[in-house]
Amino acid sequence: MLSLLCFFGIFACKGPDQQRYTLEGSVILLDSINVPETDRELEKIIMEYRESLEADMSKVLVYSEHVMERGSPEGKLNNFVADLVFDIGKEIYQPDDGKSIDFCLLNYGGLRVPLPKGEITNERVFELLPFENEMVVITLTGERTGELFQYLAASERGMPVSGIKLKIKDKKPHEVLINGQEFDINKSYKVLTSDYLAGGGDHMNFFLQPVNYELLGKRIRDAIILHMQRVHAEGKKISSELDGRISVVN
Amino acid sequence: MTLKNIDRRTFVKTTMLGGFALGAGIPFWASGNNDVSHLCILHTNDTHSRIDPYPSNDPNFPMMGGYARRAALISQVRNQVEHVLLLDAGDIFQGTPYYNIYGGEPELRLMTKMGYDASTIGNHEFDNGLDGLERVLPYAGFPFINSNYDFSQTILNEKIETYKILYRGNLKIGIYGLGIELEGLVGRNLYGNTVYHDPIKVAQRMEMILKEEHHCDLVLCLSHLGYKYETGKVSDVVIAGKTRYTDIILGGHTHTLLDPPAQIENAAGKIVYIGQTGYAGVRLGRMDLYFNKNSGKIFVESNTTNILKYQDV
Repeated sequence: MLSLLCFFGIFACKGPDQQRYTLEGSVILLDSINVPETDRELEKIIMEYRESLEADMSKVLVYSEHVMERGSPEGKLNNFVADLVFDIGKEIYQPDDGKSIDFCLLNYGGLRVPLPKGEITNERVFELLPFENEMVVITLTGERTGELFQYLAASERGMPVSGIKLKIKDKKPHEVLINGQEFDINKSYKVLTSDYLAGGGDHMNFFLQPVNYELLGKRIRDAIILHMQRVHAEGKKISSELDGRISVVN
Repeated sequence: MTLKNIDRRTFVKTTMLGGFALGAGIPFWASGNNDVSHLCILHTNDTHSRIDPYPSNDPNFPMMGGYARRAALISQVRNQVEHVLLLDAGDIFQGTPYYNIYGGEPELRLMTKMGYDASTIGNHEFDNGLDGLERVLPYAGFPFINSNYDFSQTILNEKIETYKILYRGNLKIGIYGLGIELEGLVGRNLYGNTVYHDPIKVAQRMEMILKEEHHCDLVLCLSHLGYKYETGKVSDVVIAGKTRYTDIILGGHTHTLLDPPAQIENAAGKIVYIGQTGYAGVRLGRMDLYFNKNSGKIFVESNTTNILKYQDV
């Protein structure tokens, strides 16, 4: 008992508010080795939901030549999604002024999972783009468009783009081509993006005071599904490559 | 790795004290003290509607995760440990078609079935708007806790708990919740009139209430701020350093895997433990706390190995 008191004496010297417990922490991987059995009762409830989903979701939309992952400053998945959204956007868009869309900008964070090689199911596309984001055409002043390129150049993450070529030096835009033409700050530009980004998502504040805001009435995910169905109907597979559309130079 | 091994592996916190206890030969809690409590905290974050395991062709997590497997592990732990707390740090929603089709109903039903005690609100909980969240809330048989969003001018008014006190054995556990700044992250049309308040000030106020007014034995923060940012933006690490009574932060948002939990010194020089389990419910976090309430409110920190030995006795 005496020794016990001594111990508390030592504590008191260390400070009045000692940690009152010992903590042991770990993170357990939920795989079939750590947890061989699953919960039957839960499986039953999940089944109710799964069955109605499955029929729809397990449908194979298309086959992919290779794995596509997002990347920075560019990635195969970035390019794949931005290109097809740009293509379908241009197809749907009926401009009042006769001017078509100049380029497409989406966000890295919006690409939620990689696409595997082989079967691409409806479900995988839902996982890739789970958000109910709509396609929007934003008309920006040259000045705002310049801010957009500054944003891209400063970003740590490779934003999916199509229709532009950007060389970055010291985190600043070094060379900017839009449709092969040099960027002109005195011109206005039409940018295809999502309603999320158009609302200032991912701090894309340059979208917040647009010259014009036009909803295309199509979800980005639906555009992707449409594209995949077309490629598949032609008996082809989807693929993507890196082409240096965004690059860092010294 | 079997569950038994997991019980014993990881994280041995050796302290001066542990050394003393060992040196003395008799760990003092073994001398007639029967007031040691074991609390097991299980936690998840950013599970993102991953109800089914990942498919076998997934590049990162083939056949891993899934609610039914998580439930089985939780039951297993409940069979072994009397006092379990099961908590989530937000972003339950969004990520698979289950959410797109059912709006969160199965996630909340299944979490209720697993016996979740509480969750906080992640930014993706707003993805179907305040209406979307309000619609599925009745499926959650557990409270959502958030202390720094003011919902009073929204339809969620009085439907979210500011803080919550739970009891396990002889322990009183106070829980508060912190949410990330919504502007720029969530569409304005989705979060409506929700007002965001500075998480640091709110955390300091909450821990005072839980410790000094309610005398909780343990103060726990469920956070969806994110673990750490290079920019110095408010995060779990920042909260840990600016608080005095918060013992544990269970975090989310940055999808960080902290194994074992991080240890950050708080404003009073005490250790705060921060846990986060990656994302998609591929992992379950587990923290085992061994309390000693001997001799009034003087508690002791010891060496984990000793505690385990004690358990064997």
